[in-house]
Amino acid sequence: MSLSGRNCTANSSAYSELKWAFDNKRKAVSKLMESGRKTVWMMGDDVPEEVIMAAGMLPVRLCGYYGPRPNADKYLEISFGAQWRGLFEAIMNDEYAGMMDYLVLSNSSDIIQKLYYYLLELKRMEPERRLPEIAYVDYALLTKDYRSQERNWSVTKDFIAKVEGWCGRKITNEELTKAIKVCNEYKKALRAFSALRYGKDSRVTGSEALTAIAGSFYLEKERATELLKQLTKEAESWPKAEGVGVFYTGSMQETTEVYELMEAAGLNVISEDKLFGDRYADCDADPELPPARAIASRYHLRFPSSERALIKERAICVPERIKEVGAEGMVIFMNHNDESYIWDFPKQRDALKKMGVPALMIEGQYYPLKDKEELSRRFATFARTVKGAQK
Amino acid sequence: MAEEKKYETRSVKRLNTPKLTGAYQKKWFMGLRERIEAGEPFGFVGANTPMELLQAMDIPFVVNQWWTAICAAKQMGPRFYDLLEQAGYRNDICSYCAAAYACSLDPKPEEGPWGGLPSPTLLICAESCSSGVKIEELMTEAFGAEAFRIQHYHQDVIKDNWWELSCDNWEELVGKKRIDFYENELRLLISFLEQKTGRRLDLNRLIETLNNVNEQEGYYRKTRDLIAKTVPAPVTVTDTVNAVMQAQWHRGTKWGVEMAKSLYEEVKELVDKGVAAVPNEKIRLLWIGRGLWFNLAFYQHFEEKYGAAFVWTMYLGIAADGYIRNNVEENPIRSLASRFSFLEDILHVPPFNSQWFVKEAKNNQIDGVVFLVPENCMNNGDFSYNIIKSLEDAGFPVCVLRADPADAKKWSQENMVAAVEELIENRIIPKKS
Ligand code: SF4
Ligand code: SF4
Repeated sequence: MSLSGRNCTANSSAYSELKWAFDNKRKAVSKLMESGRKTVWMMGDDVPEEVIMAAGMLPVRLCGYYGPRPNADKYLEISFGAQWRGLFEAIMNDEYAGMMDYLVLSNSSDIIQKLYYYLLELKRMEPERRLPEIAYVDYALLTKDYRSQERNWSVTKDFIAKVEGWCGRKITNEELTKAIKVCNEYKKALRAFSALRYGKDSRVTGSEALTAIAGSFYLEKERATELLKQLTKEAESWPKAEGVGVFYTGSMQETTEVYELMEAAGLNVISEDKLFGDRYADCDADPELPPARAIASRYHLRFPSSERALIKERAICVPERIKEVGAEGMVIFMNHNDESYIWDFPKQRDALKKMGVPALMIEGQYYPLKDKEELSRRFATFARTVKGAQK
Repeated sequence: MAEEKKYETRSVKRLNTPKLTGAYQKKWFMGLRERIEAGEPFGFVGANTPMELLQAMDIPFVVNQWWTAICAAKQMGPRFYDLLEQAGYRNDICSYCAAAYACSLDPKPEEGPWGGLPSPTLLICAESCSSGVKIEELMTEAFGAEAFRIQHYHQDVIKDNWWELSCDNWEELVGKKRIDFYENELRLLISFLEQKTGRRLDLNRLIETLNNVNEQEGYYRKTRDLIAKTVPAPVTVTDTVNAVMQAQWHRGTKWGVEMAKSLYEEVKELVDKGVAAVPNEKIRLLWIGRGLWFNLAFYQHFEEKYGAAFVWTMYLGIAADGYIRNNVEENPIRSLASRFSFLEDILHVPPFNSQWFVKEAKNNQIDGVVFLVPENCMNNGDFSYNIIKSLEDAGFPVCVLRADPADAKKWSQENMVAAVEELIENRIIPKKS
């Protein structure tokens, strides 16, 4: 296998289309914009895109900028890790200039809340930048009690009202229900595709999965669903993906670089609790419920993220998930100053130990990666450890 | 092991009030153990939580960040942070919030400051950063305590000059939605406290507590204003930080009011007598950031050589501007909600923070600003670019120190002195002459 990919993927037209969108996000979004819809860009895992779709607007997932980041270096403190810097840069540089009508951030990490305040202030300070109109979805995500649920209902209703203000009309329940169904269908297709990643007979490499899943974000949902279904059919007969199957968590990977390094070192990411990956599709909105409540529940009940969950909860959910997907090891990869996971680690490691699943924790990473050889060495050693643990 | 100190870390004390507050604090803390052994509840709370409720219910409590300050002042930071590392965490992150958790890992807890931190039975924390929430969870477990986590709602009403609204027009400042939300949280918290402790919140007592707070903070306001307009300044930050922090901890008590009054009277007396903290005062400095608790003498380092006096920190500044809420009788819980739903924004949300620092720099006749940016706080984000730009645009040069305010082991006295000297020599003195 090489960086240029496997023949099976190269021969798949579905994969090629997804990969094109993944590699050419700007062009892909431009193409979507030809329909004349206004764009609503989303930063953070928990912006209810169903509402945006119901309004006839175009939800666009913001992906970080992977190139020089002078704006991030100028405006952000060093406490903002590499992923956050990339997202901020993507808003501030020319990559998507003129393409952002609205920007919505969600309470998925405390750093995003900070970015929200920074961007609001930048809009005031530097009006010549013409930053888009900015909104914030303040879901309570840490606990799943009634208090959070009630708040999330009200936040969803407020967000619907906000989007109605943008599109200048009422959003009907029928429109919301339709959007919910389209999204559920899409997530179902993603889950079926991801199922081929799991277990010892994984058919898909982590980098292929990331490419297909994240690529699908930049296509019409209906088209993405079709492509994913087609891809799933094809991938069933793909050759087995090499490498020790691991579960990935920590800082989100928006490019395939780290996954590819892992693959070259004998590891394969078969699942992750990250939005650019498995977590996106893990929970449906119930089409039987009144739509605003159904949408709130979808974001409320998802798999607990490493940033907005209690240690206790993740010490149970993560090992369960690892068992479910048949991962043989866990890799936690953290960017410098995106390291709150350190506080989860000892408990999780102990829980995994009992299951015979080794864990590797990597800290202090930057973009661009500072020492790839060292990383490769650590991944390779870990692959051997996991194999050793199985004997 | 911590390195041998090569620099003086004890500050020279000029006032009597800090001695009184220090002695009281120690005595109070010693008495605490007895109270807990007698079966009283004991709270451990974040600095950004409404401890007035505990005060009004007579539940003793320790404030997390202020406990860190005590550990740091006693030069115990390094010992505790190494304990974190031994337990599988790291010794170089979150020092400001993790000291108490580290104490819980100590095999000899009685060797901690003042005989060590007793185990809290209640934890009150605000949902803040992801690490903070996790550390609090670990503490709760380690202490076998019960926790209440207060949810926050973001600020979407951005008003200029917040300090003009905060005392009387706080509804307008904070926004209805946000206060509604926090008020509801407080009501849940009160029920939690009543249930867990068997004590009840008497609203009359709460009103009295809140009125005491207003009175106490009113004295801080007078003290801050007096220092601001008096050149040379009667006192510097080393004289005031401990006195303020210790009495703020007992905010809402008669003793707190007395100590704030006593601080004001002492400062006023110095002004009346024409006594200056730095008689050759030529330069006035403002300190932004957490206090350098293990090395308060740092602030005095520049007095003799340059006549440079640190006259401002946030501790007195926030006390003066951040807490007062008038008309508490109308709805005491709501007035408390307005205080705490906004308190963090003063320091962390632009432009509330930048506008306030500029106003304080102007009022305090400041020549330059030293800005401590903690290197090991992943949640550090006050839009410091904007703070620095706002201050410099207003004519106040800023020097940034990157350091850990709680862990003495990582402090480089030489580099930090050099950075401040650079500010004074190259950016302040040339401008003044
Ligand atoms: S997996 Fe097998 S068939 Fe596919 S590219 Fe690699 S070597 Fe070729
Ligand atoms: S990231 Fe900063 S605020 Fe959060 S727990 Fe750590 S030191 Fe405290």
